[in-house]
Amino acid sequence: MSEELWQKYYGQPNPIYGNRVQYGMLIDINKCIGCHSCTMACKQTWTSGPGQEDMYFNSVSTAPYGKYPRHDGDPKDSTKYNYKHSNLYQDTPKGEFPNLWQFYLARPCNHCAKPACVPACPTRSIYKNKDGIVLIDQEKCEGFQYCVKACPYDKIYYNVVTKKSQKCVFCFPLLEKGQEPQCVKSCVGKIRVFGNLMDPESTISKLIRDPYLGATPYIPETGLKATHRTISSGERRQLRPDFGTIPSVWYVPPRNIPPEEVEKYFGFAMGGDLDEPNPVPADIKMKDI
Amino acid sequence: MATSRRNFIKGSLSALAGSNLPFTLTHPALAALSAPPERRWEDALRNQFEGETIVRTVNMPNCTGSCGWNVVVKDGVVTRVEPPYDYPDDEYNPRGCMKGQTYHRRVYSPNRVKFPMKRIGARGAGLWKRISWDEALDFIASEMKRISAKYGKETVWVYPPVPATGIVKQGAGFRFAAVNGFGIGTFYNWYGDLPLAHPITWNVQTEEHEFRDALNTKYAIIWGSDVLQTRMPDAHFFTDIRAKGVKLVYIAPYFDPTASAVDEWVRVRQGTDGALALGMCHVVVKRGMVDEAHLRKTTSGPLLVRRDNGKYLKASDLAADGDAKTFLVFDVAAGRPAPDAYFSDKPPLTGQWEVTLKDGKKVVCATSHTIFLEQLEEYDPKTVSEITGVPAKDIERLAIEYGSTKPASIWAGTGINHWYHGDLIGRSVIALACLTGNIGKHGGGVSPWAGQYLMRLNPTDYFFPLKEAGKPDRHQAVPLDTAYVVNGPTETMFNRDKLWRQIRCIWAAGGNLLGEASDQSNLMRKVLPQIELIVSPEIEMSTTAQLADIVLPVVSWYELPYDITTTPAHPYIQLAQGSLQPMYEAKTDIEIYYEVCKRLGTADIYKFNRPEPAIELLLETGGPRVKGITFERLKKERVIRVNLPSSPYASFTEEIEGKLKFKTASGRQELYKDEDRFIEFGEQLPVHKEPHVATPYGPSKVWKEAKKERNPLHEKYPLVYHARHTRWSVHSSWRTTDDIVKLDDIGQPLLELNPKDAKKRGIEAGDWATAFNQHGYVKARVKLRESVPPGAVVIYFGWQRDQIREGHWNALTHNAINPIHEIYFIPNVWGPVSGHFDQLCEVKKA
Repeated sequence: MSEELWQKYYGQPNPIYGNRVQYGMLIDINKCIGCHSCTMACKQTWTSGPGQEDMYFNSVSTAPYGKYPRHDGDPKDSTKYNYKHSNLYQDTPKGEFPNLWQFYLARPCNHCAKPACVPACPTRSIYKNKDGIVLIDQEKCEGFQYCVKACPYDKIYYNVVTKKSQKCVFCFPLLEKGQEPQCVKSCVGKIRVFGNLMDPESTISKLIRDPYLGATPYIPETGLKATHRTISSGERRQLRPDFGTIPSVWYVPPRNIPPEEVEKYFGFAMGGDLDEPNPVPADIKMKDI
Repeated sequence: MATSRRNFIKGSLSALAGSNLPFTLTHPALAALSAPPERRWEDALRNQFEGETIVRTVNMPNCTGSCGWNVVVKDGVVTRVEPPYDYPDDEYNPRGCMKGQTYHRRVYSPNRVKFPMKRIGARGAGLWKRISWDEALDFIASEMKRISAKYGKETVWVYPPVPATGIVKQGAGFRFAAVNGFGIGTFYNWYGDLPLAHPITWNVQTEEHEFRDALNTKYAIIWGSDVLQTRMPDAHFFTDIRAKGVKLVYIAPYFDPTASAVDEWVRVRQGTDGALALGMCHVVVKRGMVDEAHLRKTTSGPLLVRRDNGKYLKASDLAADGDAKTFLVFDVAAGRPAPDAYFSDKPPLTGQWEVTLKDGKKVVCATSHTIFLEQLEEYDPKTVSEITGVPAKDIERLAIEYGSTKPASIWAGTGINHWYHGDLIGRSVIALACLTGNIGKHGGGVSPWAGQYLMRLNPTDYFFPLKEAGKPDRHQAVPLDTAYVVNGPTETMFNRDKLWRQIRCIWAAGGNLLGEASDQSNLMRKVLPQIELIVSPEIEMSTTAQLADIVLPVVSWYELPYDITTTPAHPYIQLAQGSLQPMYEAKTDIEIYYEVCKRLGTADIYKFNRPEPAIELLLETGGPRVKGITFERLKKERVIRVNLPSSPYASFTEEIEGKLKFKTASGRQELYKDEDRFIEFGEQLPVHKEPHVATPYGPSKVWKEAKKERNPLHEKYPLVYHARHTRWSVHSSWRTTDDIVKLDDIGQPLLELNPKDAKKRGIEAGDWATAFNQHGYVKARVKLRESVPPGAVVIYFGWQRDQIREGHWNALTHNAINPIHEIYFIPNVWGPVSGHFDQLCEVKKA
């Protein structure tokens, strides 16, 4: 990410919501070991209640074929979701043996600078707080689920028990205690760096602006140890920037995949198309699940 | 909550005052202002973290992780765990994966064993009667007495737990077997985790660098170890060094998760890794990249070997009063053999000379390195390429890269060890590291880390108590290798007359024996009918518990008073402490053993029914590694680094500097072995032999002969069958944990095939299919993925018997025992190593 782009996105308060802090994350896909510890830490903390059985605020899928949630039938119809088997097609690579590629795509909510969910809410229950975290007020939400359909990343879930929509909260109560979010704290692959994207001095904004600042030790901002989190060098990108929501989660795209595939996931090659970059071919699609 | 107009105005004013927003931003400013001033719902989330207490403990499955956790308890219930970030070497923070994070879901699992139960139907029928603890213990004791009287005490057999995973509770089983004179099995070799190449070459159980040492390496080969799935807390060491620019190579037949995270994946034919290593040795030699000083000073390279019989030349060969233990090198100046002195840089590494023996006979003797070089001639890149499927130019390049980068490390997992000839593969890899002088160096070495066998203290006084204080006699258990229990004895078994007996009672302390053992077909058909009593102390209804006669409820790790644990992966000793009271009727292992001993009349020898005094004894008598570490200190610090010669710990650093000799007979790294059986099988030096079963060529033959033959079994069963570790379980633990199973594809066993093989057999993804061979079968649904090469089947294992539709994933394996593994028998150090990867099968649509 160039300095100019950083200035444009994070150099001033959010032009729509006015937040002067934008918490965000940098995830080094090259280092992801696909262990789902982030998913599980999140699940045990936030989504082990009634109606949350198939809810993963953070999920990990094996790209290209793994997807959570999946869209059944017409992939362009974003109103049909299938939440069963959230890690289907794990470790199913693309290509023909032995020329294969796959990567693990860890996805929390992107806490976008220009979220699609906020304007979609008819009850104005969704808001961006002063730290740039997108939250759904559980007292105001009336469960219309427009946000669920609006989010191009499919990261909002409807709870059929409480009849409200729910999503990742970036662990804001823990941030207030000076801790990092659960998915960052528990990341045993040490692939995640968390911090304020709008602070030019924060580790994360430095790491995002300078792609060659890779092997620099992580300076903990939150009192935690793990000073040696190492991030690969290479361009920093957002997932599907073509959706235009300016996600606050940044990635170091995988080095081991064809460059045109990097563009599909982390570039503008899909042109905002909701269709999946690589649908599951018929011969490996599991029947009757 | 509807915002009243009054609140709205108040809110907008305060927002205006606080935010300094320019008034020109009318639309966004309004959006910001329209937010209510307080969000009461947020407090519900904040309050969730109130009233929590935290206990720092360790989870202790046999995955070598040994990861510390802060257990969060609220209202007497464990709600979650968090990494404690308290390892003194910060590189180890955080540890622990999603399995540790969900252990509390096993504690509260509906599958939990809640009270003692006695079988009332046929074995495995699932009909149980709840009984009291007294009834259970009395019954067990009376049955043990009856069996002891009828067949002998040593036919009561304890399946031993992996001791480092809770030294007190697991060691309690060893102590139980010892004080009662019962039989005891093996774990480390029988699982196939023992790299026999280590005792062969170095006469040690296993030596490995601690994971942090990976940060010192300049070139790393991960050889047959899917670290991304099986070494989760430490896999980041590899991805970290790769991020810093160190080249990472993964050698394996499958496109495993690890293959997707390295710089180069070298795809090798199953079971031919030894040939690849020897091919690399060949290139290293031809290119002049051999570290001759290393070989001359520390390996068997300069030792003289008799050409006539393949034995080492000893002093006793030359003179009647010569010592049979003195190895000889050639003294060029004197023109005759001279006694070897470790670390001398004088003896010639290559050459052969005529030597006159004491009886006047003249024999030609060569240095063992000379013979090795002759053998290596056969492993030119072209031939090795034929054997392994790796292109010759890649073999050449890999060898040059590895040989020219110092230090270069090899992380050799069980993928190359679970083979009938796993010892040969291991020795070939070690030979490569020796030739390039990478042994005993930080950032170098050959490290396996398989199995949590390493206790880092001497437990003898706890495991095998002294009969009388001050005298050397100890209470001893009578060993019988688990491999023989399952397979029956072999002709070549070490000390068969003394050690073999048909066991009659199994105390399955060491986990899920009946669920995890290879050769399930034999176990179920032939072994189980001979067993008159199976006791399964368990926390969940595992396969073994389901097939047992008596099931006893054991406390989980979160209900234990205390325990201590270590691992080969990191150099710490840690204290485990429970955070809950024992649930249901569960008791600790040590208390159960004590109670049985009480009924057998050995309680006063067993002595302990609480872990605290046992921990004190272990630390007091544990030797230099734990000197200065006390129970009190552990209670305060929770995690303490043990005393090791170097930090990060690397193997053999002192030996390689000449301060110590190796523990072998010659005092050197023995690449050449001269025990009769090695000579009989032509395995004095590492050679490549085709797999014993899983090969299309002549099984167990050297390539020259093997390539001319076809394996008839391969024509019938053309697919190599591997039941493998998954990230979702530690062996069979966590296989029934709700949150974990949900994330594992469709949450059931899957036969994974290459789409081409499936198409040939008319199988589609999601179909039910049967994998079968001469031993047995398993039925499961099919998953198609290209990661599995054509000609192979992978099934991720660990499923309990009630999760499998038909058959068993280990019914297809048979643990053929390699006579080399039977030259000696030292439990868990030298014994039959399971070769369950050496298997073939065929798949048909069910």
